[in-house]
Amino acid sequence: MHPIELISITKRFKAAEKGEGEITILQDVNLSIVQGQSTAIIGKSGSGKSTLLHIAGGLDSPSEGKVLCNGTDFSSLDDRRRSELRNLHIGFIFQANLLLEDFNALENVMAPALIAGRKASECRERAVSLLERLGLGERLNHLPGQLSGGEKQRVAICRALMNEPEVILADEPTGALDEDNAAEVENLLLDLVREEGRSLLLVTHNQDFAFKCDNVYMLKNHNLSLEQGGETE
Amino acid sequence: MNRFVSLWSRKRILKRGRLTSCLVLIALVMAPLVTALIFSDSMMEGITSKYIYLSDGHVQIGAPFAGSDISDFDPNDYPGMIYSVDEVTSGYALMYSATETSSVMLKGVGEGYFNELRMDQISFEHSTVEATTAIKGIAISRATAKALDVGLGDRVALMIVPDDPDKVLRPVIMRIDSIFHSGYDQLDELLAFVDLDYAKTLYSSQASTNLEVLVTSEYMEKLDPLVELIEETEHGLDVTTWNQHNVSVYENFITSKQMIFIILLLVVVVAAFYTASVAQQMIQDDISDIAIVKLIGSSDSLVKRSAFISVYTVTVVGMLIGIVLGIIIGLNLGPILTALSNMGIQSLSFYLLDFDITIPWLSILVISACLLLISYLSIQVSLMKTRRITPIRLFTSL
Repeated sequence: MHPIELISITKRFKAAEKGEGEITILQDVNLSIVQGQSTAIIGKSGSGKSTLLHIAGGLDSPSEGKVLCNGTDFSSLDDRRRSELRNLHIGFIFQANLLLEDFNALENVMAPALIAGRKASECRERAVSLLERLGLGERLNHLPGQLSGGEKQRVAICRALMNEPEVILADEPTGALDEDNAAEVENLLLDLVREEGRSLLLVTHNQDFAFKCDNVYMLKNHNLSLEQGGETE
Repeated sequence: MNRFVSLWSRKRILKRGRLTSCLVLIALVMAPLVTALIFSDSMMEGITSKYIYLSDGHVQIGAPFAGSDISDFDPNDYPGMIYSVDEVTSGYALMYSATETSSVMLKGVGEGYFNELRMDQISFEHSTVEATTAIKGIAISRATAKALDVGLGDRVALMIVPDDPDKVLRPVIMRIDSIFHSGYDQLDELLAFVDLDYAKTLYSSQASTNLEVLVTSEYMEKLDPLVELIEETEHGLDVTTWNQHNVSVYENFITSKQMIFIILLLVVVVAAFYTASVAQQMIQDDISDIAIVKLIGSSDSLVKRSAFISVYTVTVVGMLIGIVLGIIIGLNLGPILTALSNMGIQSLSFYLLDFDITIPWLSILVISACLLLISYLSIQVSLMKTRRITPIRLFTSL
């Protein structure tokens, strides 16, 4: 079973201008994320990479087609079940780290596990271990405002991995970082995903980063074309 | 409770100035409300006590018809129910000093009338000069003495309003032996006390003399069943309670009490709706955090629960602080009112300034319950908006 499977996904948006009808972003896209493999989607700005990732994570709904997460169709779930699925099976990393500003680094990382109803002591233990692995052992009690961009992104990576999800969805995770920090975060993310046996769906325009992944797809003309690798399990 | 919900709620409460101001506002609304309740209830109970102990008794027994006689009433027939029974003759009189006139109800009372319960309600200042003439003594109130511009030992003329239409108006001269003060000028200025036997010579009609009954504390709240029992036992006697005897005063009290309560309730309703607007504003401020929390897997109900706990905790804590503050102020109303009165606030002279404080727990409970219920409902309605906040908003409208 694939952690995430996109089946005949089409996504259309209403045009901003009146009378222009709808704009098609994705047309009949199929994609299976393979367990334990990393998959990158590259493409020009505005090609629909982020939209594809949002649909894959159940954040947005497709106009046509369906998204299966561990075999379960997102569209068949109510808010509670969909949230639960996202909480337990998917980790998100975005260009903007999207940390809770009032929570310190440790609390931000613990948050998904606390939401899942896990014991605080267990959550703390795992969160501290993740933060220490990413070199943030001294920053546990720092608020996001007290962390650098690279540190914030590392906290976001820890948070994404906290609940040991099958798949990590990452949208330009190094897009806001300088070159050194970007390279460090890229390596950390790929190493952690491999060490923990997770799948990764990466959306980026950074080709170097993308081609470090097992599979690379190009999103062009509303659909995906394989650039590297291929589905193997 | 989910640990994340409690963590998020705690952070909101501690870090949001808006929630702190909500807490302060609720406390500032509740404190005067509770004080006002304590003031109105205590004062009305105080005034009621003045009427009962100095004017009418808990129960009055009269013999308005020929053939009936109040001396037939025996308190021993009602064991444990009756504290004291006093024969009282009363009638109206106009009182004159050298320059002023006042209208009073002259009450003729026996020696034992001012028992311990009544003395708790009144204080006397007696003349130290021994009477040298046969002129009868009278006790008038401080308010009447002030109105007539007289003092202890002075003489006043009374025009007795006859209780029998065949009699004519009769003037008598009396000496002011005592000046009393109950703390409630409105009642004081109506009353004057004379010796019972002398009063009987002034008001000889059978209807002018009746019995004032004070009941034991156990029966103070059971006057109606006691009246029924006396009426069944004592045929031909007229039995009334103090509130039947003072219908307008009693109804004024009830109406005032209800109006005050309704007004306070309306204030509470406004405060409760304010909490809903705080919840709404908090949601508005937290759109980004809510979307992030939903992104990492929180359901909408978890988000609502956390927001509700934040606002409701602040409401409950603000309410409790307000109640405690209100009770503290209420318990010190005596000195506060006296200080205000001494500052020359004239309107306070219409109120009873010296009264026992009673805390109206039931009214406080009803007002608190109303605040909590309306807050609960209005906050829940406000929080329905969180459903529209989805993680995708992080990437679109934010």
